[in-house]
Amino acid sequence: MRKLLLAIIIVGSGLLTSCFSYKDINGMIFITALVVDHVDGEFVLYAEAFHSYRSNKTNTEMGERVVYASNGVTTFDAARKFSQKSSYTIDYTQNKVVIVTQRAAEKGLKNILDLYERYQDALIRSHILILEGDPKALMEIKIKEDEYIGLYLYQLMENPEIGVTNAQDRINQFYNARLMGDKITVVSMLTIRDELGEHKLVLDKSAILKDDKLVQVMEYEDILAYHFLIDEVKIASIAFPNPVTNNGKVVVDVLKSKTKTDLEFDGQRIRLIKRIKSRTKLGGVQMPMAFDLNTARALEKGTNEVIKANCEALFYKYKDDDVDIFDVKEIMMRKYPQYNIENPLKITEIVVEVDTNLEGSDNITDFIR
Amino acid sequence: MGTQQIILQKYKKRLADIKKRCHGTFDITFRRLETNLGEVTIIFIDNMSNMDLITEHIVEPLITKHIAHHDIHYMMREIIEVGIVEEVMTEEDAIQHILTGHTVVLFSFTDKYAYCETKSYSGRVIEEPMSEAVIKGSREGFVENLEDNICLIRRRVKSHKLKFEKLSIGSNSHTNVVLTYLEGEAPDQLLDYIRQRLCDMEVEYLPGSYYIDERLQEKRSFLDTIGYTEKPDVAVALMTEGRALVLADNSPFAITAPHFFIENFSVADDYYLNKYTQNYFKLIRWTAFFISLLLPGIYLAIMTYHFKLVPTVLAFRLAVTRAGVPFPTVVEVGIMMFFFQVLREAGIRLPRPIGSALSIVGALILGDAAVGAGLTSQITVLIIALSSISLFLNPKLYGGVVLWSNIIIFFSSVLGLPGFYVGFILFCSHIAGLTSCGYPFLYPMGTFKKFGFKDLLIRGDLREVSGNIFKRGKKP
Repeated sequence: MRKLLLAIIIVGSGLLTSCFSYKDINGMIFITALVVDHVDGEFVLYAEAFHSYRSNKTNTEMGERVVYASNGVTTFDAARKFSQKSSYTIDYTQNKVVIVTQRAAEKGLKNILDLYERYQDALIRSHILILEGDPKALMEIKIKEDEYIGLYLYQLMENPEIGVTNAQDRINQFYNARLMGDKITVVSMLTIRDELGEHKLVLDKSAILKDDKLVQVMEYEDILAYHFLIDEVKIASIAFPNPVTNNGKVVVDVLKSKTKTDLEFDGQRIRLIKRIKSRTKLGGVQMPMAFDLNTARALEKGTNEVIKANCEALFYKYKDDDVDIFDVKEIMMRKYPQYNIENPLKITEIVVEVDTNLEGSDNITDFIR
Repeated sequence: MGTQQIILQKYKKRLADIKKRCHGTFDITFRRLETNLGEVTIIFIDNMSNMDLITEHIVEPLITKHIAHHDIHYMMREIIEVGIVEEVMTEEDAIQHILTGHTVVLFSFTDKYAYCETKSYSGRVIEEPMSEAVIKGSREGFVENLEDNICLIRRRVKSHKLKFEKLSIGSNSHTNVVLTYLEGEAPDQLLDYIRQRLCDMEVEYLPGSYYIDERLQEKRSFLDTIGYTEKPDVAVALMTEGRALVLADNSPFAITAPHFFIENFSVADDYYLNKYTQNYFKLIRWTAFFISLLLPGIYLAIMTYHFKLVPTVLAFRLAVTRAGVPFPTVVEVGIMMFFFQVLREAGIRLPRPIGSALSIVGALILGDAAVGAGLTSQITVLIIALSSISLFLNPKLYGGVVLWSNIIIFFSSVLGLPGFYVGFILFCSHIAGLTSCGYPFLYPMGTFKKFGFKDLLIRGDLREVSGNIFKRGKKP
């Protein structure tokens, strides 16, 4: 009986090789970034990849960046064509980012992400970005921080100091958000800029997609207010006129912020209530001022007013454009499932309650300058 | 024919028989002596006997003293001056006594004969055991002489409860084997089990205790379900916990039974040094066990099936280090493990001065030359080296872990992580199914309520952990 069981386990083990098979790690080409463009009715795929080999010239093992480009009627078709140009198997398990060009995003991401939905080895925890600019220029760009664009962008997205990334910047998060509420998603946007003779990849905008199609671009100035409203503030600085000296500006650093959302519906109007509670510290002032309790209270009040004003302005801007980036429809459906309102954003008013606590003291605690 | 004539004939025949049976053994000495009542022959092996004792206390009294009676008991009591003198009942016994180093005395004027305890071997002195060296504990280790080993135990337990049951095993070798235990501590069923197994042993020769060890193992397994120790202090500690020992002549090891899986992770220093630091080192030994058992398998599974689990930077690094290796990873791992085992075997078999030189050459081969020759990658060397070094932290598990590690590697190479899990589950099932003298080998894991063992992953106060493991709740 025992021998029979052992035989079953061993034979059964041989039959379990389902969706994966033996591959040596050095026999793979690892994609690190995938760029998708849409030109003349065809999908164009650019891939940045890592290739390992042993150099017979230097007699050493090396790793090198290689770039592929191919086109096809579907992304899958285009991806398949990579194999015609690569010595080893193309592997997507280390892909860090899928970058979709603005023109491809305007046509829709549904067909693009089809590749990721169907290909089992592709990781859906990769980031997704919308590219403002030329994909060929992106593939040719040399970044000093990292040899690989994919790895650089991954580090950039994971950097807690960046402050402009969105909750739906990963493919798995995007997959969820694209089917919820008004089917609006907000993902970060990548821009190529020249600064002091160097190419820089910058994330300072967000792309708004409805039904997987790019509909609007949110500028940097609006992103902070948006993050306050959706409870996504990681780090932020708020500049406003100094309420104490009445000349010059003051900058307040947001250390931590928490936003609680509530929604009330009276049968006619919807009240979207945002209660923002944040911890801040004084970042800097343009003109000298005495920092005491009264000053702190005045700065807190000023901060509250600025956040409130910016949030309200942002809300009404997108309400006027009828773009529900605040998930009003989703919240309404969850809280009042008995009501079926076609466009709840139209009848929504926002109430922003801000409670800022300015931390710090006027005592100098160290002299390290 | 008179009575004396008959006795003389018997004497001559007996002497001739013994000579005949001992034919071809040059070291057996037959010494004829003339006493006032007639001829006496003493028989002994000179290199196993104390010659001074024989000369001064057997030969001299027989020659010089006036023997007044023919009675053997009178001779044993009045003439022979050795501590232990007893009558020999059969010729077979006489041969055994001679071969043990005793002196057999044959009298031509009485039909009975006696033996005197005169054995004296040249043996190894008591020294620190190589396999169980300690920092702070006792330096004494068992030796090949059974009497010395018994003495080492007796010195530590001056109690009438300490029992030594003597058995003779081996139809030709007649090796002395002693079952040792503390009466009232060792369970009767355990003692019965060991007694029965020892009595059932049908061997002609018993050169060492490993025959007994094998006999007491219950199932075929790569892991030993019977323990051993070279240290008398450890042996005594195990006896106080209710275990039984088997000592065999010519073997410097005491067999301990039952032996549990978790005992492989304990060393004597755990109980001699600071318990907190030793607990830390014990956890390291557990970790090392898992590293040695699982690391090659999990490495292989991840490197050949599940790249997505490897952080990108490491994956690239791994790919680069393997770029020049022409073999599949599984072959590479197999080659390196084989290299290491060859090196270990060579290191053990060679004399120490050559062994150290070999280890340098081996390290060079494994560490550099193999990588340079393109046979393997640096990361594989690192993994196998780490796994192999970890093996040495639990030397008693060495063989079993090496073989099980290979089994897990096989499953991992066929199936990736699912195969790795299959291999590990097989290992767990296997050790869970083993028993040691009828007790579950995996004890106290899974049987915590049944036994009173308080020395699991980490040990508590010595007072708490030193009770009998078979009597739950018993206060020490």
